[in-house]
Amino acid sequence: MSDPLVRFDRVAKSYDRGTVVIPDLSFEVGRGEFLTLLGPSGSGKTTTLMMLAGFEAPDHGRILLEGRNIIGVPAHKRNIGVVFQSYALFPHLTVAQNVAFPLSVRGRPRAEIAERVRSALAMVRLEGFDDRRPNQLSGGQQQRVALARALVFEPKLVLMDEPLGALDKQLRAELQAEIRRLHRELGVTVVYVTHDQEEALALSDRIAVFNEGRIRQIGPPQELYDHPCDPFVAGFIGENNRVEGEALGRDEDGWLAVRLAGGAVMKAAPVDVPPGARRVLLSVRPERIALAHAEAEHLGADALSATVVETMFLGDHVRVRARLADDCVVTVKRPAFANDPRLRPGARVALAWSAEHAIAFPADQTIAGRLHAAERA
Amino acid sequence: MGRARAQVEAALLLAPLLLFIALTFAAPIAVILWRGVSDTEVPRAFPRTLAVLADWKGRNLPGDEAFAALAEDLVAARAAGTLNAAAGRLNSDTPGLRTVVLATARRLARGVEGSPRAAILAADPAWGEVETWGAFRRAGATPTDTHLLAALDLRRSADGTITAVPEERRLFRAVALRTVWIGFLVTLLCLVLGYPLAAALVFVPRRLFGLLLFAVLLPFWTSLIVRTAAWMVLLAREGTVNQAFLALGLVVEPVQMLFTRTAVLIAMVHILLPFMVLPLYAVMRQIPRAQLRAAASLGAGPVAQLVRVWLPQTLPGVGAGVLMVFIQAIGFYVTPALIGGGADQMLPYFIGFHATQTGNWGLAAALSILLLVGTLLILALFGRFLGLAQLRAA
Repeated sequence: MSDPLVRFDRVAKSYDRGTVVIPDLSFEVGRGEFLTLLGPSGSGKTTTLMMLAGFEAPDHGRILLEGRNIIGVPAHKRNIGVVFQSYALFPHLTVAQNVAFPLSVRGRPRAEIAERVRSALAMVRLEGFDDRRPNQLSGGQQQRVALARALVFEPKLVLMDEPLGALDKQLRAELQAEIRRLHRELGVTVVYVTHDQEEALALSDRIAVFNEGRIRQIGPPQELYDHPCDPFVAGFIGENNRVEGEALGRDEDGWLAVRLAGGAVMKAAPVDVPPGARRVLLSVRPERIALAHAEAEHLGADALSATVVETMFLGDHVRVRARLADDCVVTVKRPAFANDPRLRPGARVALAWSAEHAIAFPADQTIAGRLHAAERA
Repeated sequence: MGRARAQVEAALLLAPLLLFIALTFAAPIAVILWRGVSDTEVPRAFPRTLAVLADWKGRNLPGDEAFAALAEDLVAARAAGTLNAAAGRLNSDTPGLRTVVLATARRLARGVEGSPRAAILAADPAWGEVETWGAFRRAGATPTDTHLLAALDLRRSADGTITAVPEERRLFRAVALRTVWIGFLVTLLCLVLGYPLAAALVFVPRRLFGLLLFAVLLPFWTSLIVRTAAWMVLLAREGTVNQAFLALGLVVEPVQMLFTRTAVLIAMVHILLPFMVLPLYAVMRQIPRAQLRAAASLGAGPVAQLVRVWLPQTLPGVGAGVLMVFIQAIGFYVTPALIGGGADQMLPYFIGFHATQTGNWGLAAALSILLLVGTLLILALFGRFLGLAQLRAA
């Protein structure tokens, strides 16, 4: 990335002289980019954000903002807006005073403050709320005030720490749209932390998937969805079925032939599968699996035979859970219009998918990965 | 229906406590308040005199019938044993009147020669003064403002005008001012010491927190008298502090510490500090840490964070702490009485003094009313400026 706004350079952080939260982290954030740090709780994404904001200091490494190392620069001199999950509005100040806060601590003239507060409140559609107190607002309104407050002093970078985590689903969708709009209109760079993968997919230019203090994969949402680099990412972003199988070998196009329990052989794109590995894990999205109410053997070698466990009608789609020969249960998502009343529990069905929608990972990621790395070294 | 029933049930459950409070708290206070505006000793001993004086204007000496009634009352009261209490009560209104009353009664008991008027005037010329009779009328009226006026160093002369008592007999105004001043100093010291301590409780690590909280609460677990006595041991002329100072060579002779204002302030601050720290801590604990982080991210340095975000949010705690400490401080009795000098005694001391030493319950009650009204005024003032809702939140 040429001229990134933010660069983490081999940053490490541990707490209490023991627990390593982040062993070694490097990534970049481009100007105007919306980058989401996505991961389960305890994966180090919030710590990363706090180090960027200046609330935590890394043990090692550099954090560069516009090419300048900001380690040691206190939070209040970094000029980075932060939006908190708890809103962190000042309860003793009115909405307008809250929004005016960053301007008044900077000693801006009164007329300018009034003007910018007015336009910031208009920007988040809270005109006329100036004199309310935060506790007189709904959660969604409070977070809008927090957004206005973090944006009113025109920082180049805004950090958001699970800003929608405390809101219900409908409000969350509404504010997601709002945040997207603000990002688009203001051209501000956003680093966003969430554990909600749907939110990450909806908002981000790029997503960095965190686990155990490391970025497992970083890239545009669709790349992560279609080409996860390991089973963790495959399982964390969107839904994925995991089916165990035995690697038979690769053909000339690079597809790996995998024999599943019950004897069917399916092709898959191998990722990090070392040559000679026996056990692999197939990863297939529920919406990529075709399902037919038929005996598999009538449909040819590429079909898997399965038994319906349950069928759920969910309005816009139908979920069928079916058991394979080795008791492994896979989920299939079908459009609602294709709902078939015959798919009752116990019904015999055939499943199939095309090779490009199946990914084969080494079955034991950690050991295989280590062997693989050792081989390469 | 169900709600009414629930309310009745709640009322029944509360009834024993309410009864207890009514009997042990509300009723005694009501009795004391009543005593502050009434008199019993003089009406009991001088019923006839007071009946005659009811129509008296107070400008000239009362007529012969008043002297006759007085002569009867003096003799009867002396015989009934109610005279001493009444004489004491009159004496606190007009110093010297006790002797006049008792001596006259003694003379009259030996037999009245001629008119009662001549006999009484012969017994003591003080009966020829209008103000002597004024004292009787003041002491006899119910409700009376005599005690309340006395508590403010005022008195009503025989013709009913309110005047200040002579300079050398003024006391309570100075005592009231001193009470407020000591209360103010103690509150200020508690705030200055307690605010950083409460903040430390919020910010220190868990282990240190337990230790600090223990230290704050420790005074609660020992009796007030024991703590005061401990300060006496520490601050006495031959006490621990002086011995240490002498041993260290800081002073060449023992410093007078006990029976000084400083000693009173030290001991009172020590006793009242938890009442400042705990409400402050309760409020400070509720300020989310994210608030300070938010302030920092918005460009506020440490000072701005403190002044613009932290301090304003702790104000309800400051209000609650100041109120609790101040109200308790102006009611302090034991500590100033034991380790203060004569010039360090506050209103409660004089309430106790008049209730137990001089038996002037009326004045003691009037001083109590003064203290109560003062306390309520402060409460109202706080309610107005800080908002009682905020105090309740604290």
